[in-house]
Amino acid sequence: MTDQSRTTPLIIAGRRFGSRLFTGTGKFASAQMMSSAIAASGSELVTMALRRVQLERQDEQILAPLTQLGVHLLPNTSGARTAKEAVYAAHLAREALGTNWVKLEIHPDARYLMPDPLATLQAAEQLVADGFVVLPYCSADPVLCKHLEAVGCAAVMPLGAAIGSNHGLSTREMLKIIIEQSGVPVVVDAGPGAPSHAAEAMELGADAVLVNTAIAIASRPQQMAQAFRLAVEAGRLAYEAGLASRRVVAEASSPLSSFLASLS
Amino acid sequence: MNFVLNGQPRVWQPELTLETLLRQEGYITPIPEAAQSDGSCTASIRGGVAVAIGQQVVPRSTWAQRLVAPEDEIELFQAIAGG
Repeated sequence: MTDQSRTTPLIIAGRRFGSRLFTGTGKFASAQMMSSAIAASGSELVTMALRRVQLERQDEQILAPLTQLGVHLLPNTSGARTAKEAVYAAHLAREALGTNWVKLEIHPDARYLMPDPLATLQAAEQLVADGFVVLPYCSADPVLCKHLEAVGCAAVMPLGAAIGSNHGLSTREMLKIIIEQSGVPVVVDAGPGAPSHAAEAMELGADAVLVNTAIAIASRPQQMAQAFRLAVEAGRLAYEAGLASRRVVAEASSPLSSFLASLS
Repeated sequence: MNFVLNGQPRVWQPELTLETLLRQEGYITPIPEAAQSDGSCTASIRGGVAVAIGQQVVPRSTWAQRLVAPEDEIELFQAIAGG
């Protein structure tokens, strides 16, 4: 008997992932909390950022615990406001972390952190040419996602809602179109504030979900990470099982026979 | 004569290589054997640091040969937590 509790693995740029939950490392209260939460999430791909070293202070080391977990790293280009800055950040990250994978993100405006579609497309094309595996954080715009795919991105990462907003899938209808059309994996990035949001994205057919804030700022991050893990697995299982379609009118689950008629 | 490291002026010395500078600054640590598994994630190597001079990334393989020149503007970057 085949094990039907296992969902199909995800493959991005030839790399196989058992877990469809990707996690971020930001906003955790300590490296220890981050480490235990990521372990509980089952995540195999974990984002990091890059920053100019501040010589007078020492940041807490998170690289060593991540190495111990054996996860793959996905450096981002956060802080970049233009395509040129993002390309520079990606090259630095490749040098710093020894991986050619990059989460391309360019958001010039700090209030909403909305990705700049034109700069993202331009930088994506350049980075693909430079040999990077590019996963762009982008607007939930079906046309843009096809353009990003066409220039060689390994996946697209449309937003569910603004970064850190915990709004869930504000872009749900657009995500459905993106998922239907995409020839590369679709990772819903930003927005999910609750495990149910992540499950919803997976039920829609997203290939993976990237979660940071909702786990990191929970009272018990490790427990929340586990909740997201279960939700992502449940959502994927449901998607692969084939969800029942919605109907306007009722359809009985039990036979509507008239054996009670004799009582009246 | 000075060079600049992340905005701070430093006294230039002849024969100072990038590698020596980074070692002095504490950014080069021994490479744990366990970190070099399949090459896709050589994470803990040298604390996740990258160096650029005049906005050109200097590959780590050349740090030992690259002499710091007076007037060099060296930028040191490090991987940190992020989403």
